[in-house]
This record gives sequence, C-alpha cells and structure tokens, in this order.
Amino acid sequence: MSLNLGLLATFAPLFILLFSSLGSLQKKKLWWLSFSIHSLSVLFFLLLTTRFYFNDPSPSTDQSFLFFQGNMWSEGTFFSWDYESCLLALSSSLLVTCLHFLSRKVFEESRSIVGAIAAYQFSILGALGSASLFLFAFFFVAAILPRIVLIGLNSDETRVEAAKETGFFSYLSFLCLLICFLVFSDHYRGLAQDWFRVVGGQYEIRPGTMGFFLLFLSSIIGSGIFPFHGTLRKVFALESSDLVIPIMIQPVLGITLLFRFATKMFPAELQEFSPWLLIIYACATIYSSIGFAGAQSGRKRIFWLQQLVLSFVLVGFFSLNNKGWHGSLTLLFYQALSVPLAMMMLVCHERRGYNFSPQKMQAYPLFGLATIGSSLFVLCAPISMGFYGLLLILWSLSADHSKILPVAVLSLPILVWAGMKIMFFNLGSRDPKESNEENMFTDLNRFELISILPLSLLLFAFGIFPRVVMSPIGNGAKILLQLLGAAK
Amino acid sequence: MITEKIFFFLFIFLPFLVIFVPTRAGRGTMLGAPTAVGAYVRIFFLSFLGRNILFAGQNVQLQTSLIEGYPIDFTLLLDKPRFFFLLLVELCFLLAYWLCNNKPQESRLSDTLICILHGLTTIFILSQNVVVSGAMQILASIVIFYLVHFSIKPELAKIGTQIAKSALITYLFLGILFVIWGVAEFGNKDLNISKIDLDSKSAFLWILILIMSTPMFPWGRWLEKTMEYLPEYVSIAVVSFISAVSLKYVSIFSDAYPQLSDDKKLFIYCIGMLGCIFSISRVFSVKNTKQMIGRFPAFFFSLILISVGLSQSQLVSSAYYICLVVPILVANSLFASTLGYRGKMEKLFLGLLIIIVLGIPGTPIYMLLSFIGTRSIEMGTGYSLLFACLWLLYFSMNVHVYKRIFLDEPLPAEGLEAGNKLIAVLSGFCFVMAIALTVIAQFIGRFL
Repeated sequence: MSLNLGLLATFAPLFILLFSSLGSLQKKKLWWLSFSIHSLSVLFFLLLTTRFYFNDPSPSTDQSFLFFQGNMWSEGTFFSWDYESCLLALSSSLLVTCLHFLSRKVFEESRSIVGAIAAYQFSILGALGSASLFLFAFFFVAAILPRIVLIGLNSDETRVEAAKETGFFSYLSFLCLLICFLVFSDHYRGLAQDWFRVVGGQYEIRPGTMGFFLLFLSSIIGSGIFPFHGTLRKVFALESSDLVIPIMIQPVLGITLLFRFATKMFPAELQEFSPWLLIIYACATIYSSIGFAGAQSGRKRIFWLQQLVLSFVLVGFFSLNNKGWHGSLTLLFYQALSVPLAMMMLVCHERRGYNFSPQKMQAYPLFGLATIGSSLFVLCAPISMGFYGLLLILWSLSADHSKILPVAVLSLPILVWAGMKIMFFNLGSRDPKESNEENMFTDLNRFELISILPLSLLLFAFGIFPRVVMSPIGNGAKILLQLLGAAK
Repeated sequence: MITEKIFFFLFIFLPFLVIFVPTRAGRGTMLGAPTAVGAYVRIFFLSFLGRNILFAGQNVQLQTSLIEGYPIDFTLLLDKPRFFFLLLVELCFLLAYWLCNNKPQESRLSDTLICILHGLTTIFILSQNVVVSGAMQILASIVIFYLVHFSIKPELAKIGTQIAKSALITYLFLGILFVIWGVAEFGNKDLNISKIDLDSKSAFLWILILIMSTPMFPWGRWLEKTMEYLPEYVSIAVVSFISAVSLKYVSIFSDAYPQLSDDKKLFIYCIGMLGCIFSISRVFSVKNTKQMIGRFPAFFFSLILISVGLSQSQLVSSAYYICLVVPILVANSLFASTLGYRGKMEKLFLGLLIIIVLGIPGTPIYMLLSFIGTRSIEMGTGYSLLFACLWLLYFSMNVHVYKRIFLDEPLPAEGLEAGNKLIAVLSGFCFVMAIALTVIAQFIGRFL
C-alpha cells in the first residue's frame, strides 16, 4: 500500500505531461486534469506523512523498488520516503496545487506551461524520494529541461539570458554529480583511490576530498545557493512572476543532496571540512542580509531572503550537531512554503500595480491581512516555525561554535531593519503607481484567496503547534547524525 | 485545581478568541463591545484565581512543551506579584477598549490589535521560559508597529511611520537580545530564569537590555510622540506593555543577578538619574498637556533604573511599585487631560489623582519614593542629596503639570465629545482605578 503511494504520487504528474503534449485536453479541461492530479499527489503525500504519526517511528522509511535494478551503479535504486522528504514533497505538491488558482489564466492558456510544471514537479518529487545518488542524478537532470522551458516561455527580454545561465549551471552541476556517482559508487571506488589522489610535496589531496567537494559544488551550483546564487537571481527578474514560484523549490534539492548523500558517502570529509564551511556560510548570512537590505524591488528582497534562510540552513548543517540539524531541516521545510507564499503575495501586488498603504486596510482587509501574514512568515516571526528553526541553529552554535555565533547573529539586526520595508506593505511592485482613487484597487479575489489561504493556515498552525512537525523532524535529524557518527 | 487551570487557560487565551467575535455597527459599542466584555470576563477569572493565590498561597501554573527534546516550554505561572500587576493592567486595557470603541467603525482594527497586545502582554508577564518571553516581546513589537499605523490620522502618517519604526526596532532588538541572553545563560539548563554565577559575562547584556528597555531620552522619544500624536487608547495599551517589560527585567534582576557588583549598580543608577533629570527638564519646555504627560512614563521608568542601582540583594520593591503605578497613572492623566466638562464625578476623580500623583503619605507614589529615599540615605550623603533634588524636581513638575491641566483648554479625547454622558462613567472608573491602585499598594506590603 505505502509502496504504491510514493510511486504514484511521483509519477502522477507525468499524465498531465502526456495529455498536455497530445493536446487532447485544452483550457479548462486541462486545468481541471492538472489540478486533480496535483491534488492527488498532495493527498498521497499527506497519507504517507500521516503514517509516521501512527507507525513505530524507528523504521522511518518507506521503500518503493524501481526499474533500475541490475544496473551496475544502481544498487539500492529505490524510493525511500523518510519523514523529511515526505514533508518537502508535500509542500512542493501543495505549492503547485495552490498555484493553479493564482495563475488560472496562465494554466488555461498555455499547454506548454502546464506540461513543464508537471514535468518539473515529477523531477522534484523523484529526486526527493531517491535513495541512491544515481537515481537522484537521473531526476536532477530531468528537472533541467522543464526549468529551461518555464524560464524560456516568458515574454521578457531577460528570458534568454536567464535560460542560458540556468542551463549552463545546471549541466555543470550535473557533471559534478555524474563524476561523483560514477567514480565514487561502490563499483569503482577502488579505482578512484588512484585516479583522484593528488600528491604534491608534503600535501596530498585524498579522493574522498575531491568527491565531497564535487558533491558540495553540485549541490550549491544546481540550487543557486551562495556563492552561486547568481544563477537564480536572473530567474527572479522574469516578467511573469507566477512562473518563478515553482522554481523556488529548487534549492531544496541541493540541501537534500547534502543531507542525504554527503553524510552517507563522505562522512569523514564532511566532519573535516565542516568548520571551514561553517565560517563561509556564517559570513554568507551577513552577505545575504546586506543584499536584502539593499534590494530595491520586492522580488529581489524575496530572493535575498531565501538566500539568507538557506545560508542559515547550511550553517545548521555544518554545525554537525543535533540542534543544528534539527533547526536546519525545520527551516528547510519552512522556507519551502513561506518564501513561495511571499512570492504569491507579490504576484497579487504586481497585478494591481498600486502601492498598498495602511489607510487602505479598512477597505481591503483581506489583502492587508494576507500581506501582513506573508511578510511575517517570510521574516520568521515568532508565530512561525521558522523562528524555532532559526533559534535551534543559533543555539547549536552557542554550544559548539561559540566564536561563529556573533557572526551569524550579526545578520539579524540587518534583517530586522530591512524587514520593516516589507512590513510597510511595500512588498514591492516593480513600478508602483500612486493612486488615491479607492476604486482603482481591488481586494483579493476568490482564486487568489484560495491559493494563499491553505499555505497561510498551514504555516500559522505549525507556528502555534510546532511540535507536531518538529518532533518527527528531530527524530530524523538524530538518526542522520547517528549514521554520520557510526560511519566515522 | 482543575477549575483553576481551566479558568487560567481561558483567562490567557480569551483576548485571542474575542477578536473573532463579530460586531454590528452601532450596536454593542463602548461598554458592551466584545473586547470590553472579554475584559470583564478576564477580570472575573483573575479575581477567582486570586482568591487561592492570596489566601491559600497556591500559585496557578500551565505547562506544555513547544518542541520535544528541548526545554522550550510554554510555562505560565501566576503568583502574587504577577496577580497584582495583571489586575491593574486589566483595568487599564479595559479603559483602552472603552475609549477605542467610542467610534467602533473607525477603530475596529485598533481595537483588535489592542486586544492582541493585551493577550501578548499577559503571556509575556506570566511566562517563565526565556524563549517564550522573548518571542512574545518580538510579537508585541510587531503588533505595536501596526497599531501605530492603523491608529494615526492620515495627515500624520509620516510621524506615525517614525514612531512605528522606532517602537519596532527597540522592542524587536530587545526581544532578540533577550532570547540570545537567555540561550547564552540558561542554554545548558532548562531555559527558565534562575540564579546566575557572579562572574557571568552575560550580565553586561542584561544591563544593556534593561537600559534599552527604559524609554528614556533619546531612544525613548517614540513613546513621547506616541502619547502626543496617537489616541489615548493606544498610549494606554503601549505603556501597559512597557510596564510589563520593565517588570520582567526587574524580576530577572531579583532572580538571576541578586549579587550584581557595586560598580555595575552604580552605572545603572547614573543612567537612571540622567533619565529622570532629562525627562523632568523636558516637561517644563513643552507646549501642551499631552506633551507633558508624554514625559511622565520616561521619568518613572528611569526611576526603575535608580531602584535597581540602589537595591540591596533582592530588594527591588520600589521598582515593582513603579511598574504597578505607571500604567494607571498614565491612563488617568491622559483621561484627566481630556476632561472639558467637569461635573461632580470628574472633580472627585481629578482631586484623587492629584493626591496620588503628588505622593501624599499612604499613596503608592509616596511608598515608592520613600523606599528609594530610605535606601539613598543608607547609601550615603551623595545619594541622599541627589534623591532630595530629584523629589523636589518631581514635586515641582507635578505642580506645573496639574496647574496646566486645570488652566489650559482641555484637548478632546479621540472621539469623546464634550457632553458625552459616558464621560462621567469613565471618570468614575478612573476614580476606581486610582483607589484600586492605592489599596493594592497597601496590600502588597503584607502579601509579598
């Protein structure tokens, strides 16, 4: 039963791709098909996730055997759904389902977009469930094409540049991954000892070091995380901000790659280089917060906020302790919902094109409340789970890396200072028009409301009862850390 | 005990439930507004809980874990000092709801935000856990930010932006610093406030938090502007919250740093003295009554620093009195400054207010000043002289302020027109508040 759920939820979006390619269903019918199948995905992942609350938590994986059995690199090519990957997959599916309402017209008018989003979703879900690096790489490369299509379909001039850049960096990332799984798979591991050993004078670079850095590079290049954040920046500048929303889930793959495979394949190297990478990402938090403070438009602000949160996620990851990993995984899941929610709200602002002032709050309460809510969520206010994630990460530093703590904390005042711009309802249209005429502005329509409400309610509920999600995440973090410790 | 716990639970979460009660325009306003009714119910619950706390000596506690595996607990404790403080704060918020609901169509949002601030203030003061306290403070700063935005008149939007920014930055930073301080000090324990080693380096952080939380000149100007430009109900709610913050930090001194070194205490004392002198001197240089009353809280909150600076081990009773007095005093003074028509009840109320403010023996102001005075005499001639000057200045300030309140043209309260029959009711209520403060001040000496 559980076997089929994971598999079905992942492969279901391929039906949408099929029908959108054939063209037998169009406009509203295609929208309905796409919506129904993505909703089904949500339902399946919801069922998978709830299993962890009722079953014995110790065997916290759900395995679905796949078709690559027998290949020499494909030992263990199956889907393994642990609690964290279920949550991430659930958030990704939910996001795409909600997007159907926000961008109803776009979905009805363009079969290519429906198909591309379905293919992209299939790749993301597949990668999240992959238990082996080979399978992960397969889905990772499968995500490149739909991403380029989504970017290239925009009518903006920046699209070509953005598509080129995304394509180049995605392939570079895949190349790193390819070397990693070809050379460091069990089959060739012996040979790699000679191929990747670099000796010069007193210094020797061991093969594991090369492997770890290839994996790390693949992760940060493919996901557009500091210092390769430039790859995502142009995507955020596209004309149609609706299509940026599914792409915002991309960084989750990079971090998953580190959590799932770096710990398993290169535990010694991870522990050796973590202190240095921790310093780099502590500095990245300051860099991102300065970027956030200096951003002139709402899109750039959201981009930098995502970078800031991801830097904190990596700080937690490289702290290599229980609190850090717990906070890191929590924040990773949280940003997968909160940052796209802010982007959705920005889409609503951009559609109206007028600045929203506090004086309009009485007349447009839904719009005002949604703006305030999304701003507070994305800033990790204490009504959100992000606050606790951030707290655990900082706490992890205070225990084991007290010298790094002030560096990471330094970004918080900048975040607060810059965050006020968002709280003043200036989520930021590109060129906002000033208008005093009340009838020029409209409140959220029912489709916008339906798209924003589930995410907001979910984030709020998790903020009020964080233990519902954070306790199982904590168990997962403990298991991962034990694996790392056992492999040492 | 289960009944107490249920009442305690309802008492805490009622403000967050009340905001969802729909209201019809023109009905159930002012005295019958949902938020006001919520406050009546809360006062009833609190009185019920107080019976056991005062006479049976049983504290009420609620506890639940927010995240399993870590000491981030939602531990709320109601004991005697908190009970008295909350009782007075309830009265202040009730007055704020009444004033706010005089024109409910225009102030619905403000009413809702005040109600949320009310709930957050309660949780903040009851919370034992440093993370939860810090989180409540951060949330309250956000609520104040929007409260200022939605309450200020459109033509004063720029000033509103400045006030909102300053309030947010101050209390958000304080919240973050508080959480960092808590994690640094108690991270390896249960994150509940307890006694700390003498040589703790984080004591400096706590002193910084204590000083920054005191809204004195120059970083406390936003509070003066709040009282000057924003409606009375906003000022009352904000001052009540700040009093809760001050009480929290003072109680941290008693619990965590009872043996703070003398040089650190002297530093806190000097800053407090400077704050008092600045605030008094600024009273004489302002134009209208509201501006003068705007300087009141800064003076009293600076007195808290003096109290801590003079304190002997855990004795900071005067600071506790100040936290009790300030919200009531500010609420009463603000209301008094708006009284145009003066009937019997209004005159009675004003007379009592002057008695309290001037610090006549038996009043809470007298008690707190006498606490500080006694301790100053114990500390030596220098301290005594400074205190004498301070009392003299305070007395002169009050004479000046109340002369202006009586002689100046009263400024109308937000939406409270002259001739409104409810003014007499509100005056009566303020009178009751002043009496309650005096009685409680007398009780505290016996119970604490």
